[in-house]
Amino acid sequence: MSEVIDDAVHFDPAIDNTKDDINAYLEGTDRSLYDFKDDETGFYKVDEGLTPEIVDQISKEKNDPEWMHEFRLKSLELYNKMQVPNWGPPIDGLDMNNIITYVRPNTKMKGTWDEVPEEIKSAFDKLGIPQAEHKYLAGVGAQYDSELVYHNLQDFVAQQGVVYSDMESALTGKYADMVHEYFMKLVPPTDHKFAALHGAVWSGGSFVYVPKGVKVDIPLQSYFRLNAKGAGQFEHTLIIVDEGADLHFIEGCSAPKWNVANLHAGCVELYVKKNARLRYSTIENWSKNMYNLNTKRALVEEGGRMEWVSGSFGSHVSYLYPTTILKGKGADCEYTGITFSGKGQDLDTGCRMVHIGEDTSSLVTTKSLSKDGGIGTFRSAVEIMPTAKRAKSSVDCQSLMLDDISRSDTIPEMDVKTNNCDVGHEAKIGRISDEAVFYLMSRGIPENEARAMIVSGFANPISKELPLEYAAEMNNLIKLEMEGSMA
Amino acid sequence: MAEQREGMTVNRLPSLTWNRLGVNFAKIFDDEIPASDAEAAFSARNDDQVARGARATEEAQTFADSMSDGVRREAYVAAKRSIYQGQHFATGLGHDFTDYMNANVPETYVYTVEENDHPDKPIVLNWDFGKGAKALAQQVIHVKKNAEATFLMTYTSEKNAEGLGMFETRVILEEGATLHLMKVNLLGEGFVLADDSAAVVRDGAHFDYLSVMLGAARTYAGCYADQCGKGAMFTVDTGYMAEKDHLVDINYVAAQRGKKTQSKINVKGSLRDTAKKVFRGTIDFRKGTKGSTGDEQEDVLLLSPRVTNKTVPVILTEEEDVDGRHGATIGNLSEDILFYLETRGLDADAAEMLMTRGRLAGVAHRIPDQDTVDRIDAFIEEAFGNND
Repeated sequence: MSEVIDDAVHFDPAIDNTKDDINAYLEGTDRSLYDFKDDETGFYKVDEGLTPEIVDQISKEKNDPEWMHEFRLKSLELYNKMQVPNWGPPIDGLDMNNIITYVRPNTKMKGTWDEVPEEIKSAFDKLGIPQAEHKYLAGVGAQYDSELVYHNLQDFVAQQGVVYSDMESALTGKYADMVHEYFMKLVPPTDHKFAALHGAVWSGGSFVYVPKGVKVDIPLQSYFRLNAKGAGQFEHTLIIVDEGADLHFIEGCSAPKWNVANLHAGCVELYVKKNARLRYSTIENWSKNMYNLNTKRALVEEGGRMEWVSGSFGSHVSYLYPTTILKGKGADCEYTGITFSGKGQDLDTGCRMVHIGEDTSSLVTTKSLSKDGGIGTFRSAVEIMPTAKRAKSSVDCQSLMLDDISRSDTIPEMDVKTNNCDVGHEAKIGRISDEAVFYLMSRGIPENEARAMIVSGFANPISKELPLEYAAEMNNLIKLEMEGSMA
Repeated sequence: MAEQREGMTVNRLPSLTWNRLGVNFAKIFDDEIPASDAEAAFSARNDDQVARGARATEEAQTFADSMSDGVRREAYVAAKRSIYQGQHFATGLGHDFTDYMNANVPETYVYTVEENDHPDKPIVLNWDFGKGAKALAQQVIHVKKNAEATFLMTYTSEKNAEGLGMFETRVILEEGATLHLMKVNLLGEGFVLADDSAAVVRDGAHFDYLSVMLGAARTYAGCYADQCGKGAMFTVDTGYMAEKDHLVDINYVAAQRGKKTQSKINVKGSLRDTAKKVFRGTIDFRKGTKGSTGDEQEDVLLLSPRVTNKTVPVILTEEEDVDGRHGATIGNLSEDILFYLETRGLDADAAEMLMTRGRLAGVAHRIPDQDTVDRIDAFIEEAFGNND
């Protein structure tokens, strides 16, 4: 592992990254942490459905510049022409006529937590966001339904020239031209139906610009909370890490469980310039009525490095495949992901690597677990273009079946268009070994704990890539899922 | 041929993925098929060791269907989309191809290996396309309990000939039976070859499929094994070489349904010039296939900067107690190997041929017919220009 990655893991010397600490952290957490609902009296909502009038209404409410208004309407036209995927999990239960695409909380965005209305602040308090900001984050954006309610960047980071703002402010402020130049260029609305949907109704999200040579030592975090019943969240994240700069960005998300479908169709566009580095970490814990149709893409220039760390635990259905375009010579990407599919979940996750530049390299390591009838699919594509001389790619995916009513599939693809490259792929599907469980039981460990230990060990290569608090959250989610399994 | 504009859909990937990758299926279009009225010359050796006879295709189809598992399989992939193609006796190329063959081949040859019989010589079936011809042929090979046989099917022609070959072989393996089905493509550069295989593999039976694909402009090869029996085994050894602008498009499926089944798929080959190859390999662990294992490995040698290689190694699992794995290695000759071979007096072309032969040798040398092995060696040498 590179020194850079180690630095990211151990960014806070005040926290001793030991197993005891993780266990201690876990003691105080349970599932109710995520599954609470707040009253939304006084919130502004558009009608259910998706029409030009609703798109006009959203655009007007957000004071879009004219180009954005037109962009939304063109995206809507595309959406109406495009088909839903003929591959992947079924999304028949998602009816856009029943989705509320815009819900604005009864507050404007604030710069201090004290100014945030108490009922909303309480939600983020329960999720530990203000505490995390105080302890180890350089900046926080907190989105509630369709709009950010809190945004702050620590002074010492701002003084380095780092820009971290909500997308709406960036769209009309000092960086308006930059936003116009980059917005949905990497993920155009023509890309697929839900990219078009995003282009039509996007709201909220973050804009980050890290100037040349600036290394942000501690992470920024955006947290997305979708509280409204039957609503969609369509935040847009645009990050530009300029030449030689360095950033770790963390994304978190959760929602309470409703008895109707909710939709998340966010979009993340990441630009990693020459010799820059970006780590993008996500712990996705949407409620299990959520359709998570998210699109993430990174463009990496010469000598740049992109690192994805992804944990998928929530949602009813997920389509999630972060894509990295290795454009520049020597560009590099590492993708590390875990997916845990439980009862009622159909999680289709993976990644795409597109090698264009010479001497580019990609390394993919994924783990997936399926239990209680959950369906987990690892889907990937490695594309080596004719220009990608001396490209190297390695994909390693491992899947663990935890019972015989679940399902686990791996559907990788390699598309190689030059001979001067080295592409490798390995995959393995299996179950927890009886011998390993027996051994642990012979050491006095009860069977359910033995199985949980083995699963934690299986997930360890992923959790060790996360900052302590997030590793603990992930381990907690695994523990909760395993407890459910044992029950 | 299927509809003019639509083309015939073959080699459908059991579990679809992104359409933009162009691997979900292949199409055979009318305008790709060389016109030829002449019929290929068919000959057989050692076939008197087994019972054989022509039957009306419809009758043979009914017979094969009656010997298949007889269950309309309705399992679903993760997406809960049907991954089966509505074929009672599923094949690698799929139902479009079967429908076409059933409509255009009036008679099907049925070979029967009687119970406990072990013919000691391979049954060799050869279609010689000469200067150019076509052949459409279907076979049913029925290997009864505890019998074992080897069938070698070869397709040959002159080097520059063109034509069309379409073959479909359905295999029924009763309890404890073994069939070594070997198919060798030594066709000329203008051929379209569609070669389909399928087997129903019952308790303790073993379907051993070997193929060598060296010729033809466009080769579509499919093989589907329904491992419905306890301890059913399916092994695949494939070696291919594609050059110029040729296409090799492969779809193998191991449907593991019985307990303690095994599948092992090995595919090796080389690509050069602007050749293109698509390999789809699916290990499909169905519910109830407890204690089963599956393994697929692919090794691709890329010899030119403009080749295209697409590999889709899929594992589908709806059973906990299984062990499935796949691996793929795709790349060119390493500089170290080239340097070593140069120090031994071989130039780059000779080194490439050596490495190609090396990959194919492990497959070809399993063929129990020296004449065919020699012809494979000669074909490779000629392809690399060493035909003196």
